[in-house]
Amino acid sequence: MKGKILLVVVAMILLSGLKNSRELNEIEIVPAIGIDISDDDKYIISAQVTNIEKKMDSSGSDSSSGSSSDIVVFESKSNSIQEALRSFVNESPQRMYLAHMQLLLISEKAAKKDMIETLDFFLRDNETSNNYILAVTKDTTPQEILTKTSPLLKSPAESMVQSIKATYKYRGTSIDNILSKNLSMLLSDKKELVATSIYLQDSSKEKIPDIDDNKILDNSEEDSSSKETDSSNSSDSSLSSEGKKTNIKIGALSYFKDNKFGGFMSEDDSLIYNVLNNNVKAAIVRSGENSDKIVVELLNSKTDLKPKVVDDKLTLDINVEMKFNVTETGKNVKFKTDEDINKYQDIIAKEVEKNIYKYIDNCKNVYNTDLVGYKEIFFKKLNKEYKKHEEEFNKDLFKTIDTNVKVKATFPNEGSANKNE
Amino acid sequence: MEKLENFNTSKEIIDYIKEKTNNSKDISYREISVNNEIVYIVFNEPLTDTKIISNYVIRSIKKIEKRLKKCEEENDINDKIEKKLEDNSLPKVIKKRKLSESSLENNINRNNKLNIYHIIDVLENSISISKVKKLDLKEDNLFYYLFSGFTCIIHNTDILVAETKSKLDRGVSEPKTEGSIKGPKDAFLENYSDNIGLIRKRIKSEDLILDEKIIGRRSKTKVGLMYISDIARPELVEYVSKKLDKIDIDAILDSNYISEFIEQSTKADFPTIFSTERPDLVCFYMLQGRVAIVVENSPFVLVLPVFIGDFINNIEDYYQKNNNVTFTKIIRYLAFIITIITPALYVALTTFDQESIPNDLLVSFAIQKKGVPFVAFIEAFLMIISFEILREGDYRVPSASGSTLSIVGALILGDAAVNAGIVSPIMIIVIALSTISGLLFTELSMANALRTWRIIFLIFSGVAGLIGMCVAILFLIVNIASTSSFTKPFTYPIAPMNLDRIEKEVIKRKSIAKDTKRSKMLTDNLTKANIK
Repeated sequence: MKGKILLVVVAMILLSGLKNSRELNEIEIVPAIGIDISDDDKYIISAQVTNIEKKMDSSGSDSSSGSSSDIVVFESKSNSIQEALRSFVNESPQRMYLAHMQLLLISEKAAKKDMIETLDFFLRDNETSNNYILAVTKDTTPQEILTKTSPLLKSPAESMVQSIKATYKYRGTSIDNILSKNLSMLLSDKKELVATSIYLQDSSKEKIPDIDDNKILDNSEEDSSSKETDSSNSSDSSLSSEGKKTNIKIGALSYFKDNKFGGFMSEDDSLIYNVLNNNVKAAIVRSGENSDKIVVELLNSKTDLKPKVVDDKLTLDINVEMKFNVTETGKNVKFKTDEDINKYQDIIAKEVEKNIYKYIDNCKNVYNTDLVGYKEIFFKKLNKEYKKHEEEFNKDLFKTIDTNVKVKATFPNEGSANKNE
Repeated sequence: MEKLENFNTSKEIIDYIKEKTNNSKDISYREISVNNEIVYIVFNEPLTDTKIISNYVIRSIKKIEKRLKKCEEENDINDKIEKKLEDNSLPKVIKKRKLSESSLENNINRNNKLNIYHIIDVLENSISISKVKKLDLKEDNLFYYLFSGFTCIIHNTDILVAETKSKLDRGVSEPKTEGSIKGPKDAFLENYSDNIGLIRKRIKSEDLILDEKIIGRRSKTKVGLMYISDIARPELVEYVSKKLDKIDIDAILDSNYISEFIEQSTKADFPTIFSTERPDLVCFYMLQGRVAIVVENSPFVLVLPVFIGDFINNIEDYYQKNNNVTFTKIIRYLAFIITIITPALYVALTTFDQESIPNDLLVSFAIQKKGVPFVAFIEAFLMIISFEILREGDYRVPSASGSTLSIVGALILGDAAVNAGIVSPIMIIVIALSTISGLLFTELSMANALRTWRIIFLIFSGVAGLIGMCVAILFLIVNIASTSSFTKPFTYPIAPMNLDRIEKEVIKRKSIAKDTKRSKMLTDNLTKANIK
């Protein structure tokens, strides 16, 4: 027995054992990577590295010297991502270790390139994990976000991921698709890629954010690209002025058209995107204002998409069943009888319906992208019709498809406060 | 032995003993004259209780003298005897004697009835000591009795041995190696008959058989094979009995000497014989149909056959409410796994498969690893070795310096090594967890087997990471599964699988009132209890 064991150990050493080993103090853990494109069309890669030395100091003794930060950001410019990443070895004593990458930030400019090309390195490299969240930076560069630290956020990448997940889970306006899920969207030509967005909010300048301010963000191409160049130019200055109070915020979804960055949706549209994809965990819906307001929390949502042909015209029926919890009501809202309940159920259903119609309208006219996924739905459920119209689908056929939306809202609980009356 | 039968006088026997033992000083010789006949008393001083000798042996001899005198007076032969003894030297008289009955009769006639003093025969009947034997020199070994604490009473060529053992053993005390919270707290000791008694007093049945053998050419150690005749399988008893008969060694100093002779899978790392110092455990196992071997001078009684579960489970489970024992059992199985794999798992994860560690944890591992010059494998090895030295030292050290050891050990291993940057704190946690989990297994051979496998696992994972660990797991399973304890599979009831037993013993402990059947693997007599 012992002899056999010895034989196996020797064989393992001679064959491939030990080759792949690396000690923990030989690697730099990279939780986040940012990709930007420079003016001369080269990749600017910034890698956020956890500063182990600093953490060791602060955990070892009470005196934490404020000189060094919890993170270190390396930047480099190259024609390829791999070269840029490898060149960090010149600065850092250890090799970048990408298996714990959690966040991949892409600037709008870089996102306008073909995403498959950009992500190719991350898909091919066997060490890189597939579990990172893709996010597009809005009005800023990845470098700027990655270098942001605050006393509260010891590891910025981690907390960014946490807030993306929380936004998705409790408001439904974000998406926490990890790359392995995104990949199917990337590779299929029937569904468009969406990703979450991250922006910097200058809290010293701005007032308290108004979440009801629900305008679609300006994303005309010339404008954003000019902003992009601005911010990339001024990134150095913003780095030096650390005293400026800026917060990293999770924005609404960004959408891609043909794997190229298209723009940002509004928060309401982001929520509807998740509702239509049966992908919403929780959300808040409000109808009316002040004393007429009724606020409900989404408990459960089920969306059924039925494509059909009516009078030779392609139509899509969207049936949504939603369950809500009433969480906040105005003075005038009373739940006394079943009729009352029905009335408010209808009001909420109408509100959601309105939002869905608005979303579809936006898709067709503002975003110019098939974000409802008509192409995929018809391909999957009505393949014959899809084949007939395949050519047209590849052009903008979705704009002409009629959509009927029907929302059914129920309140299993209307809140106990009224019951006591 | 060879020459013993040729002795003619007691003096010759005494000389023989002196010559054989090289006039050993611990053997005492005493002459007592009984009616002018000389009786020798020979005993080994350290082994015997001199009070018993003076109170019972010598007093009994003196009583005989009185009785004989009375007889003589009655027979009116006093004068003649006195005359004879005055002018004759005693040896002469003895020399003329012969052993055979016919010649004795002759002597009676010739020597004026002097010869009626068959002191030994009278003594055998009248001595107030329970264990007495008249030795037949052709069969019995005088020295065995002499060195077992018997007193030899020699008159002419007759030898009578009377048991005058002194108690050389400590009294019954609490078990030293197997702790007990609620169960009985007596433990076996070095005294053979006490050990038998501790078992007997728990099973007062004629079915509890004691089959005694004497093993060891020089040590002449008593080895008792105990079993319950209508539960234990006869073929098992016969198998063990034959194995015991085959043992030919000069001395048996401990029960492990026996277990190494009779063990079936000698190459197995895991022990296939259970040794315990708890009499209740021995009875528990015997009632299942197992066989116990009690060895003289060893406070550990052997039980066989055993399964791997017996080392993990504890008899204590049967002394507490059964419903909540399941969790305890799960903890023990977990400890079994933890004690083997933790160092290996840590090394594999941190040097080969970092992507399997959650990000935050990896960062804190990396923080602790910073500044430690050794690779994780070496680190783990250093720690295992120092912990083992500490453990071995703890076993051997006299309790007076035990506290010094623990202070030095805790300080050096716990704090100083970390501060000096030799090991990372997490490595101390890992090794400590592994060692503490190993302490759940009280059987020393088991603990040693677990340590061996801990190191094998560590080597494998140090060479090839998680893949290496999988290979090591494979080896471990092969090793355990190929072990058999006295023709019984070691892994029972998991393989061969017996779902009923698994439910009753492995996962849960079935209520004693409802568990009416014995295991089929060990006995044919299945009914344990009847539910009315």
